[in-house]
Amino acid sequence: MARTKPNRKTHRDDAQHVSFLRHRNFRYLKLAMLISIVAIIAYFFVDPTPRHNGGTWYGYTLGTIGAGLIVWLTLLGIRKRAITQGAWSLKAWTSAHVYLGLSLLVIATLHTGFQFGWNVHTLAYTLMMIVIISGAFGIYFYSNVPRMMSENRADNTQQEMIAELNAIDAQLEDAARPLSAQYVSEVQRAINDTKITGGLFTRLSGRVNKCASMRALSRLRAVTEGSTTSVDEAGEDLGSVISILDRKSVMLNRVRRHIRYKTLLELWLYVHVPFTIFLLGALTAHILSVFFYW
Amino acid sequence: MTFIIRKIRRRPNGQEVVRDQPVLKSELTVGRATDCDIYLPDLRVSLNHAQIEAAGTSIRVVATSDRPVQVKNKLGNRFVFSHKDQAEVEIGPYQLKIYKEEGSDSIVVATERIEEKTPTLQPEDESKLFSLKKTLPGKRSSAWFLTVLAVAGSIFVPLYYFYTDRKADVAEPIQTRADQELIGIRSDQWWLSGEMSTAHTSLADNCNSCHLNAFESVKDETCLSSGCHDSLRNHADTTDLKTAREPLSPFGMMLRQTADFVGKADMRCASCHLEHNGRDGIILTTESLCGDCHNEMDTRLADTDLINVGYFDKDHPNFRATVVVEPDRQNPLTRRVSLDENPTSNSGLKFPHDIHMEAGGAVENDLEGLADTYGFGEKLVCEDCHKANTAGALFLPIQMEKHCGMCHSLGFDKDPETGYVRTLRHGEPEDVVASMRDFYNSTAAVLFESSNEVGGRRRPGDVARLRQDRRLVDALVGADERSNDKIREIFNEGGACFDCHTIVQPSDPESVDYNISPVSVEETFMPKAIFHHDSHDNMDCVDCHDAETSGEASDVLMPGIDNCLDCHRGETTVNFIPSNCLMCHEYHDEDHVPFMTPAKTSRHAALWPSRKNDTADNSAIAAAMELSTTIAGGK
Repeated sequence: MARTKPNRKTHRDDAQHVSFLRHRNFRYLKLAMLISIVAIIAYFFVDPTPRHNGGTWYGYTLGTIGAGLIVWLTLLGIRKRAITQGAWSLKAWTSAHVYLGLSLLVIATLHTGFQFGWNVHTLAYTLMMIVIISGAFGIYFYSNVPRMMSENRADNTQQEMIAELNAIDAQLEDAARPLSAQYVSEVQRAINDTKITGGLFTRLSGRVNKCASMRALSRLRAVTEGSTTSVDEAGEDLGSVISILDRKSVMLNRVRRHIRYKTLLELWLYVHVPFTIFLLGALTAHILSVFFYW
Repeated sequence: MTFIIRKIRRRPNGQEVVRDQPVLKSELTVGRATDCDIYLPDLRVSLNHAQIEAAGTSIRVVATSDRPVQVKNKLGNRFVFSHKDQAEVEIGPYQLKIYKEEGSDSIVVATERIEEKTPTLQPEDESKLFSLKKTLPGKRSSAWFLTVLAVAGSIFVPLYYFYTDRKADVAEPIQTRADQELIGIRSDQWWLSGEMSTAHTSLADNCNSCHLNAFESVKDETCLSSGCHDSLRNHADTTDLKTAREPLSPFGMMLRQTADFVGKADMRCASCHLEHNGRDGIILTTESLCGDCHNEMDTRLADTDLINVGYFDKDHPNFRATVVVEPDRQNPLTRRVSLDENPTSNSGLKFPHDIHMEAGGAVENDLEGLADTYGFGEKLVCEDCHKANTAGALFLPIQMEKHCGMCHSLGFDKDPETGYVRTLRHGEPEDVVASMRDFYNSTAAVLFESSNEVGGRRRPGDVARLRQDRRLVDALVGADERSNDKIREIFNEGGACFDCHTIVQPSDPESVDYNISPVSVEETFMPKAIFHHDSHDNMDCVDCHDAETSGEASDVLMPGIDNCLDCHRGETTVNFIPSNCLMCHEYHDEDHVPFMTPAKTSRHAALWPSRKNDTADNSAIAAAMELSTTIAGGK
């Protein structure tokens, strides 16, 4: 059985890292621009009576294209779980998904004829806009965040970050042993009560209010700076605890930034995916209602 | 006393590693401090946490810091045990078993870490820590939830209401239905595809009033029945409408066939009247709506006698006035003549507008005495005679008694004593003749009676009687001649009737059987168009109607299309007033018969409406319609 040889050039392009945004020299961006411009020009040349809306022949045409596009765009969820190469590679598909998805902004908006109301039709449009805008956020974060993320984590894997924090805690534990009770309780809290992160907004902010480690660090620092007797008393032991806490706070900041970046990369999908399915439901209702009251 | 500090450590396989260290002391220090006898390296243990003392046969465990020790789940600062007991003391994560070693005096303190050190973070915390999985509801579960919401709220609930709460009975008051509403989402509002037209606003809550069956487009029967538009007729015969239309382009043909295929047939009410397009959207006003057929209509509709009309400012023919050709009280003959042909009207009247409007003329001079009675100004103005109807669109018909009679009196005798003016009846020439004859005869009789009384005593004998009879006959004959003279006077030049009317002379010159030619005044010259005078009230009458120079009643003072084009142009104009066909013409109207069915009747078989006594006109449009009803086909 003869196998088709993969095109060498294509294969090389795919092998090298070319972003899905730049895939084939923006092939799908160009296609999407073409579709949008044609749709806009036609909108002004077509003269519907009495006005533009989803119910004119042009409205139905745009609506059909739009609904087809939405279904196809949704199929990326299925397509991405299968791996192929070449023109129908996942990269090509993703590139088309992004640009044709953006062209839907034009197609669907023209389909509405700018007729909006409190009804299922506008609901479907609104959901579609939410999906597209969340997708646009996704693209933005995908193209900016990974670079910042790798700069931030400096070759550490997430497991290494966990191990590092644990190691710092163990060192703290050891180093704090000679200290008197008042300092030990601070250190204990730093070890046991430090919240690495919290809810969605804490994750997005990249910092934690009332972090026990940070507080321990600042309090112990205040001791060394404020009172010479205490320093003398605790001596080098306190100094080493402070330096370990200092390392911990640096590490915590890095971990929290990492969590922030990860959240940015993930959050849009928590909107994009469920709202896509929501949109499919509303779109079905929209189409059904139009034909039901034909 | 000897203590044996026994350190027990367990290997991962459970095997114990035991190391003993004998200490020759009577008390042992326990703590985190490195110099303690029993060194417990954990932060939960104080630097110098406790002391173990051996005294005689008892062993004491005393807490030496502010932290307690724990024995059998009991916290305390001081515990005393006997040698025989095996004491189990817990300090932090460590367990200290204290007992006397058999066969020896030594007291063993076996130290074991019973609580293993666990790191703060576990490897399995990774996903909880770094991903949103535990922070937000899952993508899949949210998707399911939202889908159920969408399908239930936007499909099942509206469908449920459609099938269980059918409101096909439009007779049911909407208010009642609103009271019955349980929840807001129902087919009516939630599925409404666009704002309803103003006329149909009340139906927005009742889709079923038009959409009777699912997946079926609205039918004409629905519009035309149910007491809504049942009196409305089509513009013309449907076959004619289809024939008259401009042929479709291939693309237009494809669209039409597609529409037919999906159940949106052509030539339905809803083909033109597209609902759900905003308040004004349902009535199409575009010029092409008319132009599609009337532009070059004669090439497609062979038997039409309608003139081709394209667009108002391009190829609309000049207006054609409907003028009276032959006046008649019942059925005047009328004709539609283009204003280009300078039509004349044969109303049967004489009326020079110019004399009545002339500045400094005779009429103006005569007004002085009448100003108080009729409210005339210095000069006679149009409004003195032409009164707008209540709709303000057109004018009430001129009435002789009301309008002409202000100056042109039909009074012919004034009683010197009472001042009563005897007035002739307008519009009844025979009555005029009879009244005048009666008047002069009765005066003759009165004069005769009074002359007898003036003559004194009555003389006896036949001669006297005969003389007296002779005088009576003379008196009556004289009265007859006198009344004939007066009648002739009034019907001939210089007389009241002659001024305005065409007189039919008596066939016998000796008789006074005068008659008046029939009079028919056009109530409107343009019955096929609607013109609103009130919306032109920023103009003077004479801006459009050349009355000041009109010397004859036969002048048709209607302005031509050029006059309109000074201000109005087609619907796309920018610098003028955009004007479409519907600004002047109607498409559907029950009474607009010429518009409904193109007239196939004879060109000259025009009928003039019988003059109505009731001139209290309520609507100019109604008047125009009435007129056009009766002059169907009068072109």
